[in-house]
Amino acid sequence: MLTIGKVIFKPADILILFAASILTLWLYSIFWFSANQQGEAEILRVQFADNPPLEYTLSEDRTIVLAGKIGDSLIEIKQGKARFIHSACRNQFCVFHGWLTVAGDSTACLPNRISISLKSALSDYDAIAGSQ
Amino acid sequence: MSIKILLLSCICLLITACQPDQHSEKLYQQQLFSFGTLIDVSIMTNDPDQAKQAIDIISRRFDQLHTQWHPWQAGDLGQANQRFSNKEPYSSSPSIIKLIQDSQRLSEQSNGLFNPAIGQLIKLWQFDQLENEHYQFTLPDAEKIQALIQKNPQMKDIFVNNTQIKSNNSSVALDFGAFAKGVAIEQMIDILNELNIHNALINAGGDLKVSGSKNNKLWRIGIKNPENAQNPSVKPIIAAINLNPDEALFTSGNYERFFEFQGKHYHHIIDPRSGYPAKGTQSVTVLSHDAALADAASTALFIAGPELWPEIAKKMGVQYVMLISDNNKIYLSPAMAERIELFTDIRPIIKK
Repeated sequence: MLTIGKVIFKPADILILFAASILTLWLYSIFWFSANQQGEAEILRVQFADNPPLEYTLSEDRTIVLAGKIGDSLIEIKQGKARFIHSACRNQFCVFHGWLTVAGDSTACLPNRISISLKSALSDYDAIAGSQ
Repeated sequence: MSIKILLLSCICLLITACQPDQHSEKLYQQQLFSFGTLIDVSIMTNDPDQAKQAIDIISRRFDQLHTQWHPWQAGDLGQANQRFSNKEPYSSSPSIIKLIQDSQRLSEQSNGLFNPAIGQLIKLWQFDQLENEHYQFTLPDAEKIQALIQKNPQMKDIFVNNTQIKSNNSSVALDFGAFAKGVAIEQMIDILNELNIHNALINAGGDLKVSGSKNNKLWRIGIKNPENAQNPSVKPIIAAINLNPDEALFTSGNYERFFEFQGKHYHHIIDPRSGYPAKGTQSVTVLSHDAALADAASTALFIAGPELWPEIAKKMGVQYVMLISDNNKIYLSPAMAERIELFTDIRPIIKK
């Protein structure tokens, strides 16, 4: 038993207060000090014409091939980043954009009607300005 | 006993503070392929039907405006351009008349650096063919560029009489590529307000405007590092800014729309003084409450370059500017320096 002033804390009281304090600190660390505060992306969202968007985790490296309106587009996921490595379009703006690394960033092969964007539950940014 | 209850109550309050606010709105996002770009619409609402309806309306409106305002297709502007080349009058829609009148004012304020009358020059550089998958780009004939510069097409060459428009200079052709997106985004935010959606973000190819906030948190925007396109080892985001309700952020960059010919990169921002792609600037970012002004100013200040931009910004009534020169110097207006967070070791130069 612990006595502070006139208040007596029994072992069960101390246990409840201890458990509640740990729970508070744990929730606090999840909501405020998550690694995602740096804008680390978790998901690659691929929009292909008017179809519902496809989602891929960025934690698994893979190559995605999509047959678009004018030909194939190749999208690569590697080490938590994503990019167009090839597209059937002439201008290659999507390939020139390079790696998407930050949640909120996106690029598209407009002639092929395919866009890719990075998402995160706790992204730093709601949008990236100057990103075509 | 009361102290124990008080302690436990405090801890319970701290725990429940982590739970989402019951009145918070959900984020609905949809990407649209329209207006010759990728459009990202973000809407805060608790009604999924309202979000879907709003996105459908916006999508249709963007498509309509793209047809109406395309300089070379059969829409309203395309027809006006045909008449201008013969100095014939054309009866135009109110939306084109407003584009012309607003552009005339902005062109004058920018000392002619924002000049939508140089459509023929843009066409000579074949930027009207960027969406044509089968086109083979070449360099335009220098003599033809010079001939067009001599003819000096200007916005003030166009005369508006009620619904009739006419040019007294046959070299005038309107291309609102540096203005239409801003005007369209402004309209879309108005449409959302009419639909009772007051917290939204519309991002058209990296140019955007917000309304309200995201559950009482300001919309936070990262600004792309223009160097990143050529050198992936540099940080992708050079700066960030929190936008207040109804603020727009527009960027003009030399990496956005371009073609390559014999290994050389030719970007789409043509200097109306020389007839060639503007030199000296990598990107300009402008913040304003008016998306149309931000659009026009970002182009004008890109062309103005590292020396002239503060004078032009003042004349156009733009307070918030960041310019990154092609030798990687960062220039900020004093107001922008107070708002922006830079993520670079380069010390910015603040210019009044």
